[in-house]
Amino acid sequence: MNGEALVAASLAVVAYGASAGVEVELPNGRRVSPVAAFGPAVAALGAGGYEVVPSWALLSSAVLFETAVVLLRRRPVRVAVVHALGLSATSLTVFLSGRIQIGVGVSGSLRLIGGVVVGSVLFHALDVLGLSTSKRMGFPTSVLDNARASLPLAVVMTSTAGLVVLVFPYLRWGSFAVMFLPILAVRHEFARYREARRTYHQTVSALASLTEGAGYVPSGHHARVAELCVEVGRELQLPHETIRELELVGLLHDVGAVSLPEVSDVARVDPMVIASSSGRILEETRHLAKYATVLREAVGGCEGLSLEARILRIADAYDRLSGEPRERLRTLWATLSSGDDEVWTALSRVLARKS
Amino acid sequence: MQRAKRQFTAYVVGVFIFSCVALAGFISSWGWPSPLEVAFFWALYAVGDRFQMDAVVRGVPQAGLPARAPSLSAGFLVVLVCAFATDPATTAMLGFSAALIPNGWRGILRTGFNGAQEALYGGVASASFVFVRLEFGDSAIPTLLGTALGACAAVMLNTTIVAGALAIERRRSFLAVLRELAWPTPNSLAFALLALLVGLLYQDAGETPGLVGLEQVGAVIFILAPLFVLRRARQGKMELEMARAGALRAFVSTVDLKSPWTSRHSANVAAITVGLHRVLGASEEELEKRYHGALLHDIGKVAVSGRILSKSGALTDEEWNEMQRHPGAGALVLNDVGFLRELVPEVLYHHERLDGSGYPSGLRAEEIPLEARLLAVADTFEALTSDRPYRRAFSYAEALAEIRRCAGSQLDPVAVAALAELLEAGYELPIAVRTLSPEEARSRPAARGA
Repeated sequence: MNGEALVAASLAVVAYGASAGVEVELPNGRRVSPVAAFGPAVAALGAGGYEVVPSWALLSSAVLFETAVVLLRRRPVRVAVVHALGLSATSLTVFLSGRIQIGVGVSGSLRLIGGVVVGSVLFHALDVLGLSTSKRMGFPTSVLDNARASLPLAVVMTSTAGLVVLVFPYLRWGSFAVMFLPILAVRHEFARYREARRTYHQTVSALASLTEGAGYVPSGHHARVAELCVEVGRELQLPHETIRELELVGLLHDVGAVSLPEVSDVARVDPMVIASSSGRILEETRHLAKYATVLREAVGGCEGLSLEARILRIADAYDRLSGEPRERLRTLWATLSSGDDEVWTALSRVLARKS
Repeated sequence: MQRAKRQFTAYVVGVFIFSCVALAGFISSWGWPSPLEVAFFWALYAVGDRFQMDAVVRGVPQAGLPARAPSLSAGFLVVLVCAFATDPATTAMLGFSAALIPNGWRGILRTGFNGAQEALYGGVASASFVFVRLEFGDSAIPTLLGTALGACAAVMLNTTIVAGALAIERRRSFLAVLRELAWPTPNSLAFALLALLVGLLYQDAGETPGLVGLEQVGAVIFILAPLFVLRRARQGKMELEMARAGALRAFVSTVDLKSPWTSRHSANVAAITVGLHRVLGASEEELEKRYHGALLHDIGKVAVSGRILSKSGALTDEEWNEMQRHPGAGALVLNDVGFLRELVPEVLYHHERLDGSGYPSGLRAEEIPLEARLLAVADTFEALTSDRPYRRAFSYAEALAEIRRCAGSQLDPVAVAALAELLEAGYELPIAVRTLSPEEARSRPAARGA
């Protein structure tokens, strides 16, 4: 083994460690280490055309660092296994792409790039599949959900891996340094996105508690309804985004009551007035605008309601009625839930789990 | 106004001439650029222009702010790629021609300016890159060094030239504008490195300039893809910020509806307050805060009975006490939300008067924070220019005269002078003050009497 191979191998190990350190937090809260970008690129350099990083260095550093991540960051062993499997599959793909002649006149580096792209996609697919098996959510929903959340990162990492292979002849080991920059940029941008979402949630909660503080809505009602909406939504295996939106709508569903001159008007006025007033607030907040109708449906008739409206309606009703005597609650409940077995069953399961 | 326009024209012509001289210099050193090469990068630029990350930087929508600042765009990236792949003459030529991209036409003055400044920063970036590599060889370290230098030079030149133009056009201090614009960030350096990679790959095609192989196409895709992801993330973030601002605005206007006479009050006060702060030379970041402060100044009125808010006669002592609680109630809420906490002083003290006759604390003169004093003037002006049950709305001139009468005793003379200047510049309230929407009018049939 010559000197450069040794340097490259140790760099690979260091880069691997660093990539385990700079985890990217996806919008759905899952943490992903950019090992995914690193794997295919190094596999390409090792198994593919350039032959500078021995495959054994890649695989042993992968095992080493995945073990470290599991031990130090208390991640499930499953994650490490999935990553190791993914890396092996990726290395194999890249290795084959370097060896097999496809078509005539396709240059070595082009074949390598193809291998890296396929390998990287394979890695992400395995990652998503592996992580989706464990969630409480149903399998297909969870796979779609994870895939959607992982897509931006997968795109960035595949591109980065491809670039590393392309520029390796020019920058040699300098390309390892280059590799981290797009990932760091994306990580920074994702963090700012999550921050914006946090302050948005804070704002909405503040509006809810302000309405409660002035006495328009019983204290804690908004938060409890929001929580029930989330749990019922999870029980029904709704997509992540829908659940998040339902939570916000739950927090805002009665906020419109503040347009009434007096607190005592709440009991007198038609609930529809409050619903449309709250609906106007939702309409102003752009990505919740579509829920303005959900809100009006939820107070309106019983027929042909959307799933979201039914969830909101039941969560709201449950919270308002939970102070009633038990017998009365049961009869009211029966009239309310008739014809809505799906949501009602989900709520019962949630409540059973809670008690 | 006319003078500012003349200055702007002079500035643009100056930049243009300077760029032409630079271009001539580059051509004399590096020879005429190949038209094919320029055309190739021009096409790339045109594609990149579609991926413009052109951000509404801060969310102060109703205040009529031209809140746009240059940000990382794919076009910038293409200029950098050209700078690293070719020579300064080609890059400068690309810069000039880039202004002629179909949807980039914004009148002769602006287009000329854009072309000239792109030519200038592109040429300089390329020259510094080439210089470092000539001086220290073209191995990895000098190459990376040259890239960093070229990218920094490009961003700084771009920022400085644009800041000059904005300062003249918006009649603001050059330094204040400069502080708000983009400086070299880790992000732009990361993109510079990406540009370098494409540049090096492009150079590899050496013998047949302008002829693009599949590797180059791959490299371009690999570079544009992360850029696109970043743009999406940034867009998502901005959408959330706008949603947040929208939720606040909507909630506040719902609170305003408690009294038919004050609907739209908060939005109007926010717009006037931003105008006042702008006259006094606040930065865009500052304006955003003051906008929210003014928007939320009456949020404490949720806790005040609507009958008191819309009462036309004098308030009883008890009612007056309840009314006086609203600044404190509002401040209490803001204090609970992290990013709104810094707005507490202006919300709490917007009813204080210079002579100590205000509430809740009876502060005097300098004890009242400046933001609260400006907010008080905006609040008063808005109240005077809208109808009340017991009087018609004042015209702008009448309202200003009335406010001037109180300057010094109750209202801050500096703030009043700012208001006068704002009105003199032809300021109009962004929302028609005296009209309710049909829906609102229907929900309050009794409100419109006299």
